[in-house]
Amino acid sequence: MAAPAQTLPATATNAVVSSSLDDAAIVQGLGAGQEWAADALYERVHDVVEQTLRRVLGPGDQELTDLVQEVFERLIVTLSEERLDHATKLRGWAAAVATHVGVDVLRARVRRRRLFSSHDGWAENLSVAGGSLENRLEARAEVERVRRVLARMPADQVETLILHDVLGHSLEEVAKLARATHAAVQSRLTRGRQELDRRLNLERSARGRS
Amino acid sequence: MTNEQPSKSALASLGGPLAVADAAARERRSREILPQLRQLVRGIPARRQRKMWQRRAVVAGGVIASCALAASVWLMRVRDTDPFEVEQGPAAQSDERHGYATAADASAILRTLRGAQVAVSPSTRLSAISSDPHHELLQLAAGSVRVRVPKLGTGATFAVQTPDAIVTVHGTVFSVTVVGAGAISQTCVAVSEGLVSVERAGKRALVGAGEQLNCQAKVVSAPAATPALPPAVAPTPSVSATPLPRDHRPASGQRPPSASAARATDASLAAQNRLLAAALQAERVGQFYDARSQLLELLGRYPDSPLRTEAERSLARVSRKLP
Repeated sequence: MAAPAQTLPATATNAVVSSSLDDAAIVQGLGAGQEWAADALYERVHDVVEQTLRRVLGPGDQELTDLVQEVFERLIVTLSEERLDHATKLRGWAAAVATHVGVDVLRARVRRRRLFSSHDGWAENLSVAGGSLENRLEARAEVERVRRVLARMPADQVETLILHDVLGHSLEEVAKLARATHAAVQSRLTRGRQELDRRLNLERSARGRS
Repeated sequence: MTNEQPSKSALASLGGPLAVADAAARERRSREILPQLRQLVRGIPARRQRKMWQRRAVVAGGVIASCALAASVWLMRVRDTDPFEVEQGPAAQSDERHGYATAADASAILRTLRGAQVAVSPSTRLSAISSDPHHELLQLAAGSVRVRVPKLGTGATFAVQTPDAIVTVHGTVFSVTVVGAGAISQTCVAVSEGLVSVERAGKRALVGAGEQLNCQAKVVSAPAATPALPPAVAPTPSVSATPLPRDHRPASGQRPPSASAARATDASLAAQNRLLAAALQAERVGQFYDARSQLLELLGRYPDSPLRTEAERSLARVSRKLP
């Protein structure tokens, strides 16, 4: 792998830099303190970070900019201190960090009883909701319930569910990103699904009684 | 509670396609975030350097701690080393830690860590209080030992402590015998070569070659049962000194005579001591005429004796007791 850190012009555009480098070169540039590496990293993974945060927290989250910045700061600090093998797939690594940050925020909001704002535009931004107001309201209510339930579940199970069932990563990828064994991730996934089922069924029962 | 599995549809609702994000908002976000990320990246080399030094410090601390631990273990082992090596005779028969005892029909020769040879008589109980390389201290609880101590280095001591006395070596071959037990025990010290100091009840006396201290008729015979020490390189005798009978030793701290002066007056002082000791012994057993005779001889032959005052006082006392 070439080490272009010293040869790139400082004025290179993000897109050019990002497309001409592989992940390892970006990580190498970060380690060397090169500013272009920050631009390249941002260009490489910002869409993954934003989408992950939007899925976990809602697309209209008012703190999105702050959270995106937090995710990138964690990425840079982590990548500059650790070996490359954890981060050979920058986009996967970024999705994992974004999921972690998103779940943390979700849980913190539940702890503060600041449950999901009805003004976050979440359901309105879902293109699957169909055109009718009734469908959109129902979709919005369902998503809010899911997020409320997820926020009360063990964080490792929630992160595994999101990475695997929501973002579509394979078990092997999740295991690598979570630095856990395949068996452990499989166990978290199974238990997470069971727990989510149990809690959603409980909630439905409660709603049915009321 | 139902048995449905709603998690699948619930998670699918989270994973559905998202509306396209606002391009203007994305551009604004990148303008806000990127400068801070660049600044963060610029600081990475310095942060790495700091981390590296921290790691090195931790490693160095670990190495130092390991060395200290190893040294402690080594010291503990050294201190726990048996202070005696049995050169001849049965193995240690004492339950006491660092102790050695002989049966009524057994004797032994031991060698201490520093190389002092200790001939142990039958029915003797001996232990090491300190095996410090510079300060060896043996405790003789009962019985008798004969010790040959190699030349001591500067500041080094070798001592034998008995229930009533501490015998400190100034070099080199001597015997220590404890007669009796506990409060009524008495320590006899006989020096073959060199000089030892005997401290008892806060007072100190020097015992030179060929002299004995507190060795009454029965006591003197005790060292005879002690096994003979093998010949050794002749030790260097220190200053010879005059032994003083019990209750007539000089106060602690009194300077011993220099080697040349002591050698010149050695015989005279020894003779004076013998006369006074014999007089006091005769007084103890009720032979007051003999006692007076010894005291008169002492005062007559040695009018300038340092023991004169004591001799005169004793003479007055003995005279009062004469029938």
